[in-house]
Amino acid sequence: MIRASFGKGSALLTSNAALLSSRLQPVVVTQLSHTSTRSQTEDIAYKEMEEFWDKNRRLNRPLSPHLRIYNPELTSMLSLCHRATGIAMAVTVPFVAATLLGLPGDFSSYIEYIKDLHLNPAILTAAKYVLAFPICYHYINGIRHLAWDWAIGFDLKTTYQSGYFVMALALLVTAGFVHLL
Amino acid sequence: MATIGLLRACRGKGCLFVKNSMFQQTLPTSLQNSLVTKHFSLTSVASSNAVVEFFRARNFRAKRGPFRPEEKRGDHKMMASTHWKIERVLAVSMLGVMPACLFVQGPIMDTLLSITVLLHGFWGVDGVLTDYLEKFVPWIHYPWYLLTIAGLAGLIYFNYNDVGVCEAIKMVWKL
Repeated sequence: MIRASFGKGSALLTSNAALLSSRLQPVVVTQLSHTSTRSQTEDIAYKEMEEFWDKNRRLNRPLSPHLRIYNPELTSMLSLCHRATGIAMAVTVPFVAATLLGLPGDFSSYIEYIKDLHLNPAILTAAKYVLAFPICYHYINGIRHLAWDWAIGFDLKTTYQSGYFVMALALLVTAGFVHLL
Repeated sequence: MATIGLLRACRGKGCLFVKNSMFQQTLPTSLQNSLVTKHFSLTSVASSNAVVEFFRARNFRAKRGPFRPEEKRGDHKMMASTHWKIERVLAVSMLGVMPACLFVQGPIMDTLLSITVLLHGFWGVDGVLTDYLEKFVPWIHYPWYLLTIAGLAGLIYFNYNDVGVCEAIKMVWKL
């Protein structure tokens, strides 16, 4: 806790000091720390919560089933797909970039290496699908997410319709990228 | 899809997709009831979930909270809503950048792509870590931060000293 206090006024400023002291009040500045701004009630609440969870652990109380009993819906599955593709891309890009930074040779040499493997074109096409689908799906579903952030199309019927549309469009665009580009 | 397969595996017993289907109704009642947990009693009950039991045996404690806005903000000065707005601004800008990179390539597009993809990915995974992992591993943000920095370094090097991301994608697609 920091308290601001009056400085010692010099003789030169006595008149000003007298004027100021009548206007200014001592300012108490407390440093923001979590425990000092938390009230006593909240501390008691936190403590009770800890004790409750200790008791749960001690009695080995089972958790209510959640993922195991809830049927997968289009909404949750598409959301999971959005997150999964996002994570996959967000982890792969820095990882590959950092690896390329460390590996010897430039990028063309690695392309040549893959060309020299003479892989079955089917494998290369499959790999292109794997590369293209996350981007396409995440982009198109991203538009859907942004629409929700502006509270557009939030009701269940529209959500389901847009969900089917997004999945179909993503697959179409992926196929287009793989076979047409 | 793979995600559906994963969920099937998590389930253990019973079919994940059969919503009150004829098949499920023809199952014997004992098997149907096994899909619902038993009532708990005050004696110690071990659940049939291996993951829960694994952590319970080690007295694993997930961090509870933060609950209040001040606690959630931590050391940052920015309001969470402002950060959220910046995330959406970036996402909307990427809506334009992604199709543009199909038509316009070059060093500027390389830089634009690198920065937007890395930043968007960083904030996205940061959100996932906060949602699921932070309560178990509070320091999880630091390795992710380091990986992103390393990725940025790699992409800057790539765009400057090597072919650049747009050209690289074209080369991969020509394979």
